[in-house]
Amino acid sequence: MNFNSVQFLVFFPAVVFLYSLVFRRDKARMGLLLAASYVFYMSWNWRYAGLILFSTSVDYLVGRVLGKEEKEGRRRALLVVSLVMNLGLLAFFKYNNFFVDSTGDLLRVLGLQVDFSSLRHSFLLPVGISFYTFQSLSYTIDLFRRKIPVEKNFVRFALYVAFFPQLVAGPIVRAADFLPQLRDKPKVSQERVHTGLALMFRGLFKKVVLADLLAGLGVDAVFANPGGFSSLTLLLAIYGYSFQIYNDFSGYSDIAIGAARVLGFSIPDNFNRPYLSRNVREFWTRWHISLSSWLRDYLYIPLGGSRRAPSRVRFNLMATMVLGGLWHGAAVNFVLWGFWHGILLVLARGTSKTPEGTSLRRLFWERFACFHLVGFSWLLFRISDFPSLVAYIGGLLRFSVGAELSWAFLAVLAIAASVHFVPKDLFDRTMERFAQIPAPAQAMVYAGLILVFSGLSFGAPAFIYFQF
Amino acid sequence: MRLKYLTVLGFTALFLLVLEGGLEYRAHRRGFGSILFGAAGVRFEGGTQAGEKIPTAFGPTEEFPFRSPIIPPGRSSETTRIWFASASHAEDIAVPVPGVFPNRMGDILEEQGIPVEILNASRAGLSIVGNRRELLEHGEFWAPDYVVFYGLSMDLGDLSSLFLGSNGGEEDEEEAEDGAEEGATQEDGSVSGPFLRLNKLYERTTVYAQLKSNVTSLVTRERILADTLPTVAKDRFKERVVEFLDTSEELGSTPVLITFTTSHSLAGSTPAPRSVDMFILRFNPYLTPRGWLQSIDELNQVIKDVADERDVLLFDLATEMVDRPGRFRDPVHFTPEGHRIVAEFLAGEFARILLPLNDGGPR
Repeated sequence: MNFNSVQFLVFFPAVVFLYSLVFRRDKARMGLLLAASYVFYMSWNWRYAGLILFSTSVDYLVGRVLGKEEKEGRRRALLVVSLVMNLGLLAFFKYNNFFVDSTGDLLRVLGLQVDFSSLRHSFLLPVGISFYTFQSLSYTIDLFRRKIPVEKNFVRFALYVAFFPQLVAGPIVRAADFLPQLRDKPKVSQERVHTGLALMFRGLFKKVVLADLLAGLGVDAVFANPGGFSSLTLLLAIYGYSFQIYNDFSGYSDIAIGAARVLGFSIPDNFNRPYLSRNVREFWTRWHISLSSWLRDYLYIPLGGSRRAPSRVRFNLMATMVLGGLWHGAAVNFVLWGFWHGILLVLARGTSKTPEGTSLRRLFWERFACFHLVGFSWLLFRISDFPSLVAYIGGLLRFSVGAELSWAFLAVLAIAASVHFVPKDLFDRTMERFAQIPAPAQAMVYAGLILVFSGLSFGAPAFIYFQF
Repeated sequence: MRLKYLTVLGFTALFLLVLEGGLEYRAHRRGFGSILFGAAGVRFEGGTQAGEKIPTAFGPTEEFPFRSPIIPPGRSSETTRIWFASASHAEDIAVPVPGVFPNRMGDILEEQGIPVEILNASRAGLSIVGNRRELLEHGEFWAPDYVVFYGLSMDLGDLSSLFLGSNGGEEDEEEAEDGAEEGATQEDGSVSGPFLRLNKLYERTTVYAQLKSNVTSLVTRERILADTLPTVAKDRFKERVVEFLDTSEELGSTPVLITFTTSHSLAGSTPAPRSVDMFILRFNPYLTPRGWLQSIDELNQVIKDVADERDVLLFDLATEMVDRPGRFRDPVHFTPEGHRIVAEFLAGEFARILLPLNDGGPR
């Protein structure tokens, strides 16, 4: 059940309606949200509900014991149980075939003929496993670090792991941020419901109107056959994909944050106009913030972070980014994508994360350069086979000009760029004002938008980050 | 949370329902079918003449999953059982069950003294992959003598998506079972069970039909559309047809392939009007309308080649129907008259095969 589907259009209002009926009763409210979250998850594949329930149960039990255990050795052993279980499931479902194939290929290169095909499996990747695994892991790690109290209520903990607005594609919410919200009564008001709805529709606009149209009007066709287009078109398609993936993912995050707000919860922002970054360090403070901060806190810093010798810091950065790339998908292109960002971060060492000052001209060129360096990384992200990547780069280097893209693609690209560069405050203020107009007028706008979304959609394509 | 906070959602639902109601009333007044006002007023022209046998019960039911006259599972050696594997073209819920061409063909053969039983396993949205799955699921139990395939436009839809869309040829068999054309529910593999039924209900609304016709098709024209289907897609289609034939033969049935026919074709002299282009763009956002028509010809050629290579029965309906747009109510679905003419053509083809058998020869 994608957020941009007719099912969700019925599911969400139905859940909110029932939620309003049971809102005053704590247990019923939590039970309803948990049931709704599992129904939402099972709409993809009911069998994998057992998997998420298993992860939840193990981490809940580990957490209960960790809460009582004082001996450091045993606490460490409990953490290892959680890590092995969570990362083991992730490795089995997501990476098993990749590693089996890669090992086989490597051995063949070395002249050894070993057949590992029996070790492959044909299970589908459970939707959102990368997200809820990281979310659940953050609980046991923070508990181990004594940063948060143990959660004794199973339903509450299960809801933290499976909360449907952000279950399948984030933002990855920390236990320290979300569990306290579940313990208190949710903060619901008419203003929050209205701004939450506005945020959801903004997300749908980003997804259906901007991301899907960019894909449908040009990006997909160009990436499917890079040899058939001029260099200019190939370049425009990279721009198109850069804004497609931004609007696709930030659109999802907007809907998740908006839906949570309607229900009375706060989820932190996941994006902050990333293409305005002046260097890649800054980019990673603006793009997929919940993942980059998770990697920083639970991988980069434990590896030693930046308080080590320069060579070790470079290694830490590379390792974090390569693993971050691998988190996105079990394929070589994601490893290369992470590697590319690692190199850029190593090169950017010494620059400020959020540089200030300097002239407008310099500001422009820094942003221009950063946008193109990140844009090139999207080539690695999107293209999974080496010959197509070579064809694409070769096509770019022909420096040919052609007009294969329609005016509609260029118009949507221009709108997408404009929307991206609009200051967040302006968006927020506009939304707040809109939320104050009479309900029938808001509803009229939403009904019109639903019709537009439905008409523009080429069959409700899934969000890009669902596959991760 | 108070109920009054949800006023915006209530009003939004109300506006959409009022719009749907209004459009349905308008459509009903113009003679179209709708959810609120019932089926379209399609007249079934035929089948009630004196002496004609009218079956009293039709499928699909839980026990009999076919859109054809209900027959018992056990079979007699006197009758020939024919399985039709198609999509909405032969299921056609806009036409009463006796009027769809497989069932009419059965009636015509009966009139000629050739006892046949029809198993119309056609279902909207099925490509040949889905047809094969249905055959694997029910074929052994119902034991057809002949298995007829008609409907390659569904395959054209999902092969276009596979090879011209964003997934670069990575086939998902689950998705391939259901195509994305001609009023079928487009599945992205994201929902199942009751959620899928919700999707189908939505796609029956008049609002949806209006949006797809008036908005989606216009946007699709601005896409980069291909003029041809890649060779690899045609090869994949050939593999699918061969698999279908293998399955039919493993069941002990004789497969029959029918070339696919459309209201307009590149071979015909009647130029396709804009409405045909819009219909094609609505359901296939990857090919130009001309490319779509050309691909239909090319996939028909694949069918002919496979029939030739495998020495399988082939009925060339496409050639029979060239330049007959009046027999179609849209580019791929027949009018009641079209169903009758197709039925007569197929009955003639089957009669040539079955008459000698029925005259005492071995079956």
